[in-house]
Amino acid sequence: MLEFPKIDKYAGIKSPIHSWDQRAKTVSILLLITSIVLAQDIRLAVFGLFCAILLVYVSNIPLSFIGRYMHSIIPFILFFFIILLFTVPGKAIHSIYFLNISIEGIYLASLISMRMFASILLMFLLLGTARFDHTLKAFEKLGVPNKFVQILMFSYRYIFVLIEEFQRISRSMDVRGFRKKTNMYSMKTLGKAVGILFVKSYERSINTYHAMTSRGYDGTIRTLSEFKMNNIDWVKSFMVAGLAVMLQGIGFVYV
Amino acid sequence: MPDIAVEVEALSYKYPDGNLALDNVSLSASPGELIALLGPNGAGKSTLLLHLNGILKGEGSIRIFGEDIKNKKRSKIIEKIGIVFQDPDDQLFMPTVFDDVAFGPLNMGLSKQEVKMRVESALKKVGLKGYEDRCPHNLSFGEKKKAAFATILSMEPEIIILDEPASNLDPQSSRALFKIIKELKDKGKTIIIATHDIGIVPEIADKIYILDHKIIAEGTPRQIFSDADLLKKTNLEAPKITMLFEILTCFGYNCNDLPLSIDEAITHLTQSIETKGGHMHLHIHEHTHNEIKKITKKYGHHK
Repeated sequence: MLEFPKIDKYAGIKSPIHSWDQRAKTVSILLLITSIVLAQDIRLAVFGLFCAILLVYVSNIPLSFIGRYMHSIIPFILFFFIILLFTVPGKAIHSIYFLNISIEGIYLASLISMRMFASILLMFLLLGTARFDHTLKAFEKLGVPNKFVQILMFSYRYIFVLIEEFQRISRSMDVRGFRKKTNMYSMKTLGKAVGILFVKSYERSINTYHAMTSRGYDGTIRTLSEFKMNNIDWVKSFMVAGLAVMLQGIGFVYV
Repeated sequence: MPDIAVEVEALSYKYPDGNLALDNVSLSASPGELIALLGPNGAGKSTLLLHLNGILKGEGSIRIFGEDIKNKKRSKIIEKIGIVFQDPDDQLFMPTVFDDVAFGPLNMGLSKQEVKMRVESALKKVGLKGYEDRCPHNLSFGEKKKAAFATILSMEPEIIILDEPASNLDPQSSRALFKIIKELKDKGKTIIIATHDIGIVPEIADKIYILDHKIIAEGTPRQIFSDADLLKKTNLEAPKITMLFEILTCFGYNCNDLPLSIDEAITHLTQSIETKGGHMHLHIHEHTHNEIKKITKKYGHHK
């Protein structure tokens, strides 16, 4: 058994965000994300990012933990930033060889990066402040199609099993002297190993399906879930949803 | 209640690649009986078990409490018969142990309260109380096996089918698991186990079937384990304790019915020593070594 980093590692700690009803949290946060993503003015995006950081701060999730996840996401944001920087047409203020940087490019690159950063932080907040199974149950209660919830559920359950299975294959290749190199032989061997993983997953899926039908699976997954909205949940939801509406309102009236 | 809980008649099944997996297999289990299904690897044991609740469909008939399962709805079959699969990662597919153990009862349409009660009782039975919120992935292999067992216990079926329940388990966990199985048997459940654990079979089984695509033999543990030719032919072994007592007969120990389990051995020894005034007399003669050789050869131990 191996321990893998899990996004819901800190689901058990206490904070106003953790105690917030997951259904309400899902709707409110998604609303805020949509609002930030639709913001056309950079000042609004900065404000959205500020709100996201504030909410993450309130959630008490250690910054080092968030940092570890952001570590792998920041290169993507940077990638878009650079692409936009050089590709948006406008008045050039600086040139590197044949590439021009324009004011419009800086503006759009910053706006998009800010939106992305804020959205990712908020998604992290949504998924990191409740156990993943709880989030899935909230999705189901909110009317997300059962089939979609099932796909997420199985991905969550079996991703680690598959990783372990591949690690076993990889280890058994290592002990027989296989070293990964950038040559055709390595590529072919790894390709075969991945093929075996597919075959194994296929077999496992059949066995799991048998186990499911043995226990009455008929296409719908049923779970017991208990959600209860109290007054504080409503207040939190109105605050965050209000924020989302306000962002759009300001954008509409002043920008 | 009908006299026969499970009745398989002339069941044949071919794998999709055309290989014959089951050839004219017939077996029966009375209510409350524990049947052990023995046989070499790849003999079709798991395939046979998958037929019992209608997952695989071969030629022939399968009756559960007198009713042919062909005519029964899956939802009705699962109320009567539960299967615990060999690999617990196949059986535990939900995000938490609670959800997994509740999966069957919820599909049976039981009330919320009843489902909760059943989950609690099933987890308590297998010793996993307090594991409700754990993700199955983070359990040890032994815990996964127990949790997989609980997923069936919560459905409270009359017939429980276990595919190699003790495979890869440490001896303590294996004992604990068989203790639960024994308790279920004492409560009148009909149990069918496919296993390689020869040591435990005589302790718990009422009847043994040896399967190698077809039924090679059936009988009580005594009938099966005293047939050395059959054991050799089917790649099986008699329990170690039985071999030991047969070797003891070479040293002059008087034993007609060889004990098949530790419990039987204790009873036998106690009775033998008591009838001999509190002593046991063993000796070595010239022919002793030859007799031992014969026995070890009979069980395939050439030394």
